[in-house]
Amino acid sequence: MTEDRDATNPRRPTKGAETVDSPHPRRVMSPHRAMFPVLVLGVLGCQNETPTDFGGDLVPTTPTTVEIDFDYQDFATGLALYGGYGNKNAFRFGGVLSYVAHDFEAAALNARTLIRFGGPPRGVVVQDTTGATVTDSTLTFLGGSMLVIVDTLQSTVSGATEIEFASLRTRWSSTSAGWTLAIDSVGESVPWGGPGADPADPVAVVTWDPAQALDTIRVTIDSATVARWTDTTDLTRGVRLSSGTSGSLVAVRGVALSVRARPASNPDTVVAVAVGLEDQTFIYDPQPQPRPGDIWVGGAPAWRTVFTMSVPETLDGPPELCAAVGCPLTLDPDFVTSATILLNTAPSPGSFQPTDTITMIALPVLAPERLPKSPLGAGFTDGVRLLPSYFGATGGIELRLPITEHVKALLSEPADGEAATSPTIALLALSEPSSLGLAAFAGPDGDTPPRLRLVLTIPQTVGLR
Amino acid sequence: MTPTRCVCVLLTVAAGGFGPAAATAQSLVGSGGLGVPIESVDSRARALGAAGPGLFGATLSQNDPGGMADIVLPMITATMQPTWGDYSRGAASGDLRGTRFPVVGIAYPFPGIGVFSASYGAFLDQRWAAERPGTFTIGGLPVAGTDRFESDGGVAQMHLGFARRITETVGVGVTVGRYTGRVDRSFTRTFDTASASSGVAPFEDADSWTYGGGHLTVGAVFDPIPQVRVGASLGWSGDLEADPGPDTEGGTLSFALPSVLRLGASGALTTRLMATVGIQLADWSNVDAVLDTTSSAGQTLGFGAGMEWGGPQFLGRSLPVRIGYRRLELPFGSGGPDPVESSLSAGLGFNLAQVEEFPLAALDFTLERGTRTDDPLEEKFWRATLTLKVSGR
Repeated sequence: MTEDRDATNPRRPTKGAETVDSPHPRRVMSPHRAMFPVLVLGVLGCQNETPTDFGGDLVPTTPTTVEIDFDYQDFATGLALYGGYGNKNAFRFGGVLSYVAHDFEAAALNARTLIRFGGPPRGVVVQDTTGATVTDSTLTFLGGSMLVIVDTLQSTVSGATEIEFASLRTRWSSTSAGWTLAIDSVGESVPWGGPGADPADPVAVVTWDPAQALDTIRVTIDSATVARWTDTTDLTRGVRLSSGTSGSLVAVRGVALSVRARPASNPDTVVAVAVGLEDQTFIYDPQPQPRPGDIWVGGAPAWRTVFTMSVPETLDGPPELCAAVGCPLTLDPDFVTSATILLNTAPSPGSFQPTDTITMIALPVLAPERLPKSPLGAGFTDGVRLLPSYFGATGGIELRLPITEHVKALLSEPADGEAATSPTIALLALSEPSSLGLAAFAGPDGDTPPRLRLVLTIPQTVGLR
Repeated sequence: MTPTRCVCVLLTVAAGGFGPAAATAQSLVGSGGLGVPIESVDSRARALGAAGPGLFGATLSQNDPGGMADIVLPMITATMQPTWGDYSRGAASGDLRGTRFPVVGIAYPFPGIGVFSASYGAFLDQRWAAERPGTFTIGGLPVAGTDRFESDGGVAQMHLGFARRITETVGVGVTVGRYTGRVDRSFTRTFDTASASSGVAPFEDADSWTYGGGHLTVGAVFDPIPQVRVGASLGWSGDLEADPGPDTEGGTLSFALPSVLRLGASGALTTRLMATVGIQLADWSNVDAVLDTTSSAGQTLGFGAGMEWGGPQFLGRSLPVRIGYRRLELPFGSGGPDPVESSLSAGLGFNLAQVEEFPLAALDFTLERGTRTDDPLEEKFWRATLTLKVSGR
């Protein structure tokens, strides 16, 4: 059926929608080719720039931002200090492994490094008298040398310092040895013959003079000493490093033992072989003695400060807050833009002044009733870097420890199946033990006790306008 | 429909398939009330300044149900509308850029019954942002900060329609549909980290609403003589319901949308020259009852006029040339008393394939130069509208 069309109005068919017998359509451009310019223009136009009014009056809401400081007694209770965390044999502070000190600074600190080497080399690869390469396990030890690498930046000496090398006589443990006990563990307690790993058989005394720009101390030892230091059947074996110069603190970065041996397969040859390090630790006296209310972080073994937070859930001030949003205000976690604990540094105990940066973090204490052995939760702050200069003679530097996420969690209801956030937090060093020095802060009874600073932003309800 | 045409349709739909609700980057005028209206018309109507009804020819338009009565072949149409421009409001100025998809649709005629259609078009755009500097006391010190409020979203409308010729001179149509869409609003206050104490994170607050509601449009075309056409449509809306998202306070809001009356007429001045005029009336006053502030302009009037010339022949095809003018009072503004949009337009039509006088595939292009004023806000824009229609059987 052919559709009629009105000659006077070619735009309108004379009948309704009826079938049109269409001749072959005349086509200028295939439709799908015509899409290309459409898509190109669309893509070009699809880059969006939202019109934005700047500085005008179109922002339909004006939330209130206010800062509130809480005194210690208004946000925390139960401050306690716990020590003994971390093993000194795992000490790694900026490359320093241990210390040697004698009558150092106000506390008259004494420190001694204890070292245990491994067994002698079992064989060496040499050329025998026929020229063949063999592994010779029949070695005659002729002697050796021990090398001590010193961290000159972390050391404090006033000039040439005597370093004493001695062989230990008492069975000892690197994980629990202290100034008076060689072994101090559950079920076993073995005292030194005398405090400070005494008695010990002197081996050598070497003078180290930092003015010569040397960072190594070398001592030559005889074959008998080599045999004694490498006899793995002897549990008393070990080397004690101590200082004979008053007022010195030497930081040890590393030790090494090299022995000279003659192989039986080629008696004319002397080889030098390294002996592995098995254990290293240091002992010191006196231990820092905290007073009630002290806030310490760091040290070796490390100290932790624990307290329990009690963030107010309703606010009755300050006046500018009440004027803006009305009081009392129920504190919603979404209002908390920032939560910070403000701490003021205090002089560290004598001889335990930090000598390098300590990073302090805060972690939730998951089982406060099990302190000091409570597990800790995941961190909620990136931590604060504590520079040694913060803990000078007078202290008084205000530092900020952000705990925003923790405060938000304290104010929030836990999700189904999740435990409530622990309000007890521990301040501690990022790695323990981290340094011989420890960071001290003014406690609740001091002139500048800790404070909690909240920055709150209270929104206005904005509907569709 | 041949496979080639099917691919073309898919590409067309793909180009326009992001949906009118994805319209972006429109106007600061949209900061008031329910946003900026987007007219669901194709490129030809835009070129002629038309509101919808009263144009010669078959159209698939949400504003002109009666115009669908003359559709004789199955048809798919998609319209894309990129916009570029700039704005100034007091000391603030900047660029605006974005792309709309005012309408995509499909129509299918059933001989002896009528024409059924389905379409999806934009209705209101609510995308804008505002920033404001501020000073706050943190750590006992003044700290600079910036407040930013951002609105993103809009309202679209889906239609199902039916039209038919009831006499040789009269066609009628009706569409029913539903409003859809969503708006997300967010507020962010950031603090100058260089001067603020550590750990002061930005404050963020966000709300969202999803839209729903029904509407009905009836329309008719009347051709008293072959050289004259008159068209009209009346759109009635139920309340636009805005349901808050899960983290949004408050209950459902209901906005009483106005009925919209559109009238248009076209006359063939010569066999190749046509003129058209049209008006649009709506009263948005009732929306104020629910808004936080009185934002509506009350009664709004839109007016448009245009001419279409059959144009030169190009590669054996006619190349219609169109010009037009349109002025529309906007229902909501950014604070000024009388927000208005006006534009001059020029357009071309290009039949890619046709049988007799029936275009099987046509591409219409329109370029507008317009302004929106809402004292002290002024926006100047270029707006291109492209419509691709593909028909077949």
